Amino acid sequence: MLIYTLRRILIMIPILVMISIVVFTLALAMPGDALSGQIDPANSNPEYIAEMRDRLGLNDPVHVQYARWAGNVLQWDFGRSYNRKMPVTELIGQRLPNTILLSVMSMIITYILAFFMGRYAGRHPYTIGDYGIQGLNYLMLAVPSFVAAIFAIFFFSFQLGWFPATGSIGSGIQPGTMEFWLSKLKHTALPALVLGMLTTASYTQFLRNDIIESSQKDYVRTARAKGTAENAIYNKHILRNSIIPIVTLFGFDIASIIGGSVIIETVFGFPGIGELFISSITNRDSSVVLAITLMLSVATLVGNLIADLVYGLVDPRIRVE
Amino acid sequence: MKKSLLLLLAMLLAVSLLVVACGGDDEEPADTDTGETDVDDTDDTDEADDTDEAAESDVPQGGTVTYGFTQPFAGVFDYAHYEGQDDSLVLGLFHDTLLSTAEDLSTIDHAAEYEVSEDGLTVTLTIQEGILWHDGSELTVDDMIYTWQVIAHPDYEGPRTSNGEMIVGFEDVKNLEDYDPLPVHELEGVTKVNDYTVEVQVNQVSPNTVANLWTNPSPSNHYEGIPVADLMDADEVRRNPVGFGPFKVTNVVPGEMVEMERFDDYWQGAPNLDGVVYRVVDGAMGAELVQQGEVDILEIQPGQAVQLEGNPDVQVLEYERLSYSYIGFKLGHWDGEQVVMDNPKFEDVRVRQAFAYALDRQGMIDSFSDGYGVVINAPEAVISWAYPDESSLIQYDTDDREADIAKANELLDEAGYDQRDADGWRLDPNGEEFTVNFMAMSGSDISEPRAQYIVQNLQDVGVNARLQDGQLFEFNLFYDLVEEDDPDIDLFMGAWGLAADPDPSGLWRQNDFWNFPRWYSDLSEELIVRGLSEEALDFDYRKEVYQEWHQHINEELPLIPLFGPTGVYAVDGNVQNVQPFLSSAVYNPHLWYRTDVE
Repeated sequence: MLIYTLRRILIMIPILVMISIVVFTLALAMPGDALSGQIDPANSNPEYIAEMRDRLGLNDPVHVQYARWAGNVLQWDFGRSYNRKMPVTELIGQRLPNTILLSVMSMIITYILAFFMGRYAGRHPYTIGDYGIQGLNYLMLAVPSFVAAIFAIFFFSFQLGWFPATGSIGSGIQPGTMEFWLSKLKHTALPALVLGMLTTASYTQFLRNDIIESSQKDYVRTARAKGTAENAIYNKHILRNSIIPIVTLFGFDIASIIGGSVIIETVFGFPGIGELFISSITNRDSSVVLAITLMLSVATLVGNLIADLVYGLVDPRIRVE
Repeated sequence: MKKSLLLLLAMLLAVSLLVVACGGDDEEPADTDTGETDVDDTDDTDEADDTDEAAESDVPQGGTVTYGFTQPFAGVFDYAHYEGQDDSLVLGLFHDTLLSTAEDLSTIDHAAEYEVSEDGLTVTLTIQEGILWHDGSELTVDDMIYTWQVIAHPDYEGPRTSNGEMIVGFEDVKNLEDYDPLPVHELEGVTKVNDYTVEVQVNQVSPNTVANLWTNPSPSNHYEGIPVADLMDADEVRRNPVGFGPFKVTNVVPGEMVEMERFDDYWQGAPNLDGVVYRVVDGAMGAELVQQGEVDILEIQPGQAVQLEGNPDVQVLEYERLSYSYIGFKLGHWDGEQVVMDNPKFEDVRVRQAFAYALDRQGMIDSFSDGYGVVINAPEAVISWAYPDESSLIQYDTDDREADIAKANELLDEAGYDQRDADGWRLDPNGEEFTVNFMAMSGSDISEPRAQYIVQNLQDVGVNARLQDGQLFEFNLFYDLVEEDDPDIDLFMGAWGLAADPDPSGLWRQNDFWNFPRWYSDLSEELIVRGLSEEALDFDYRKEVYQEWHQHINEELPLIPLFGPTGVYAVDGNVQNVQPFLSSAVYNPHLWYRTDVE
């Protein structure tokens, strides 16, 4: 197991190098750079822009730029954001807590909904309740997230006034107080709800199908034969087995926890990583784009590793070698 | 079965209750929840603006206003270092300037008086006594001198160098090999007369010296001991900035919100409001957010203004933006040093004029900007004192569209484009195929239909025009191609922002890289130089020169000015005295007040 883990970690290194090369080349291949938007005779002049391009090293050959960037990254220096005028690590550090809060909340909502709906549908397959849940799930899966987000804002913020429509924090609040955290939760609730509900479908169906499959297995028949109560069979025997695939899915969710949601964050004006990512791309703020992409790559690789390891832990029949 | 269905429903209900509980604890709008302190005892609040003599003290005091902006801000809250409007709006609320801009864009006294000497080489600034910074220290010329020393410092990387390099001795400091990291190197041309008066020597005589000279002081006491290289990242700039404006910053949530409270010692009198919150919101929902009271002041797309018309709870305020849109002809290329006019395609001025006649500019404004814009015939902001007399210009867009088209056809025929091919398209004077590529930027939902409309306008006079590559171009790609004079470009539609000073240098000279039409003429060069000459210190002379220059451009037409856009602000009906000006609604914010405070 330990050797397996180490081997997996070692393989990550060349993968990351390759990813970084591809991403770096693509980022530079985008037309324009952070200074393209600065052509403004009222505030600037071509000499200043040319000088800044030179100073930022944007005129060097690609491989030179890559070597410099990679060298800095190895020393934990991801460069400065040209548009936000601050170190990239600091910028991401400001956004990460918001995104993590949003993702965790949305995941909790997803898990709770999926657990109860999946359990019900699995225990009562091919009934009206099951079809109702399936219908609802696929409806939410089919609705594009920006449509759902705008509907949610219209309904919950504008019509009912329950939630604020934008931002991650209210004004006039002292950081660190109870009120501060409540305001945070209140601002995060609506985007989290939309994000959470839309991804419920796959989890629900996973759980439902697994329960149906398990309920036809021999050990269930045995349990029935010896007179175990239906409730006990479903809640103890079947559920424990069926929950395994759900638990392992968690590993794959790690990347999405820190990656946030580009669309939801943008629509809600929620200052998280996804929103930062998309605005950095439009502004050609390549140091930020590179840092976020790299971060997400690492998270995906680590997440996959964790998923594999957890799989072995929760299901003793599976051994990784 | 029944029991577990109930259980499921109960669980679902529990989840939804949990979610509601998170959100439903208070339902009042966020902007009115500040404590009702300092409420004036006047109760005739509704009639406050009926009488002119009702001074500021008579308007309701207190309340908070939320100013929205649709892009995250960088957070560089120092005048000498900021770059975009995102930060300048915040600066406008908590900071102030020594000089300001009048309605005709001339420079006028504000917190200081200025005087230019007879020979035009010395500018004297006299700061009003007794103005206080938020940290309690007094504003003196030391702050201004400090700021110039920052800008001149070798480590300075901000964009204000061009606003300081006219000062005598600026270059010497900039080029120091061996220097102190602090901005302690004095500029030769700056002489402190007393605490409130400073004299600045400039290198050359120019009528726009005062307009270009940097006159926004930074708080030198507050920044004490910070090396120039670290200023931009310093907490003194980003976290707790200090200014001498009507509001002081109390809290900065990076990229999302800045909270400010009133500064009672503001030099123009204490503001009426308790505070202002600057908040980043999503522009797509702009008008709705103002209607809902989530923000009180927000610039919105003209298209969104339509849904606000007739709503008594929202004021729709218009202002002329300092910018213009244009369609440029590519008449040459940039050889690395200067403009070379070598593209024969639109050499004939009659063709350029014919295109201008063919375009229905009023139609573009009406159809795609809901009427928010003004047709212009000169590349200048309509509110500028330098905007020429329209009656002296050729009007390419009259009320009679048929006559305009006839005129366009006539000019094209005259220029030799009178033969047609089998499809009815005009051929060039040599009988060759004549196609015109039109390049436009993507970006908003009106970009595409408007570009099609322009192409259609040209096709109406028999010109085989089409969108370049059949598509629009993303902003960065567009300017990349325009800058490198891509040979496929014939016509391109761009826009320029303008400075308050009308000097066309930077965009129109032969050695200007940003001269995108790649056009110049001897007369134009001469007039631009004359507009900056010593004689132009005389205001009327200078105005005359620019009048002549605009007439020249109007005839030569290297680019067709389209329109000056009208900006639209949506403002909550309870917030009064908001007046958008130049580029934002941050204009005399100490006079803003709310009518709905108790």
